[in-house]
Amino acid sequence: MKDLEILDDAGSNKRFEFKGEGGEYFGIWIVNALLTAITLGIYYAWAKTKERHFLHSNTYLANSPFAYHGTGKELFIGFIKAIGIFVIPYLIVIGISTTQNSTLIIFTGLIFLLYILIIIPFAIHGSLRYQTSRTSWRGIYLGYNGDRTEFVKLFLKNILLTIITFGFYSSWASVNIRKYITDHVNFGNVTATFKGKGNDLFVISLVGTILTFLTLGIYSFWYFRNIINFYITNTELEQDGRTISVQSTVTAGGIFGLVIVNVLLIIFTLGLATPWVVIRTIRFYMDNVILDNNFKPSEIRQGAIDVSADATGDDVLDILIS
Amino acid sequence: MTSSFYAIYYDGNTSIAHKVEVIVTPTYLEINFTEKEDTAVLWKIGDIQKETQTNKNYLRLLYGEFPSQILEVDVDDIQLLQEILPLSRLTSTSLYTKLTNSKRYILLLFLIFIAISVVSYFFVLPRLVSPIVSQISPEHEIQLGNTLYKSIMEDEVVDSSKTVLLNKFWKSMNYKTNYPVKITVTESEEVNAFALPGGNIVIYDSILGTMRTAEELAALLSHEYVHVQNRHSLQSMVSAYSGIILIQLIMGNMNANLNAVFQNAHTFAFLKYSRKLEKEADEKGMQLMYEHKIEPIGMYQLFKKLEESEKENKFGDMPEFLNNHPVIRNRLSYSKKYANSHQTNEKDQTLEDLFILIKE
Repeated sequence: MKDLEILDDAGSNKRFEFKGEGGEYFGIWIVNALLTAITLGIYYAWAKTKERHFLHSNTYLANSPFAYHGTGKELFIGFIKAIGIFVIPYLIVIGISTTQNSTLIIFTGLIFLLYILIIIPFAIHGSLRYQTSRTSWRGIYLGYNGDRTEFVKLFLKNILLTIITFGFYSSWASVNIRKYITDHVNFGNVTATFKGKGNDLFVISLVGTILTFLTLGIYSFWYFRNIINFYITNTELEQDGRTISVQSTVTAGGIFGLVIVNVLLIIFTLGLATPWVVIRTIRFYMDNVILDNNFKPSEIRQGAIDVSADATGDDVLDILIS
Repeated sequence: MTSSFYAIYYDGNTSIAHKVEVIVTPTYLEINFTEKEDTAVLWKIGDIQKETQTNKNYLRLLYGEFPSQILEVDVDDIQLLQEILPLSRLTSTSLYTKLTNSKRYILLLFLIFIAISVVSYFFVLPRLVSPIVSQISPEHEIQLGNTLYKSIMEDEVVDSSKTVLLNKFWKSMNYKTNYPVKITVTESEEVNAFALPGGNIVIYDSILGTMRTAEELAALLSHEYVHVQNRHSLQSMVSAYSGIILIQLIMGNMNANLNAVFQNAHTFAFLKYSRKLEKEADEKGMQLMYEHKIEPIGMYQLFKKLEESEKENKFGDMPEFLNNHPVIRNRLSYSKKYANSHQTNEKDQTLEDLFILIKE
């Protein structure tokens, strides 16, 4: 019988761990790629779902695995809706571009860009609701209870400010958006909050950019470390009135090792090593994030579960990213 | 016979991971908590559900209303359950799992995939080009050509008197055409000429400067006319884009690097395709000349001029596979062969007179 000693709430139980192997993931990845190609993309929804099943069920916290409950069918229906969201306006743009009226074409193009921009927060909201409600750990479901209108307004306001300040505002925008999302994620009765300040991120970015430039790129590893740690260590959890801090052991050397090996793997295999690269990256994060002792893995209670979210937002986001 | 094994149990309401002993009976799974005695949970065999197995180390069984109770069973113990549980196929034996776990199947699938890709690229795609092109109406083609013409002509200086003469020359050749063929002469050092979809032909004046006979000019116009009449520009566009779309469909999900490799390969294949169209324009052009009683030797003479101008610049020795036109040696040889066997022995005085005016 294998080791089932998982009931202890101390020591390694605050850690994340990824137990999947590159070879295993390669099998899934290549079969998915081939089936997606052969079906001219229709299989994509099922492929994505299989991948998430594999990645979730191999991610462990306190020696227990996460589970993913989404289905290919859900994602496929969402995909069809997502296509509708893009195709119809796109066809209108194409139609107008045949008129050869350049003022009208530029105007339509701008409207289309604006349309895409407005879709993004809706998609993020939908994707968060879908993905959290399909994820569980020890039978406890994750949840996202952000308000759609509120989030869309917040997102567009911050993006607009970033645009009119020529990107100057982006540190504050990232922090505001991240804070809204983190503050509305819950894991049973465990809640989260983001403590980071735009000012701090701005200083990190400014110093990082200047030093990276002056050191011909060498400083970039420290810059990445600072950014990653800013996001990790400013996230705080709360369980039964106790504050749980999230700690990071990410180092510049660690990032250097991760990035250099990943780049070499991709180049020398023409990309066939992608599954190993993905797993190395996931493992890097899992190995470097620790919850403090206030986290009691066995004391989480199930919260309200809302599985009504469909996958449309998730698909839209996927289309926009890829 | 009863058997038992250890597993992990979650009740669906709290995150406590209970280490339990599961006793298998013909009708129930009896779940005994090792940490507290006297309590047991009974799962009726018929109501137990199985989650798709996605981790090679364990299988999860579900029971009861959502959020369900969960039993996480080590793979080594699944055998014990298999005898009594009516859950067909406890271990994941779906085709998909078979595929992802077997190197042989992956290889087989890979070969099928290569075969489909090769067949669609080399056999289906080329046969799709003509049907797609025929769907595009000449009106649209002319419109497209005019848009292209406008944007190209923005930075060009037009020689209007030669343009008028060349259009007269073209009219005198008496070729039948579906398109409003319109010739424009522009001032340029470069020895070149090209046809746009829908009838616009642009000729750089340097190429006129090198010409010695009316037949050479007729040959050039015939060549460009075949491009227009046989919709070569559209065919090239459709062939180039459909190839890119196909590669995107096939490789898009794999990764960017492989995608780039295939895109470049497609560019090479595409150069071969445009060489094919150029050769067609040469050959059909000469046929037309012969049919309209113009000496096809003009084509050979034109290629001679091209050869000279190529020798002057450094790209003369570019190998054929890197070039969108057939190498000049080949063009000289097939045009000479055709001209020698197809002599008209006639001179069109109108063309001769116009040519002298153009050369002035």
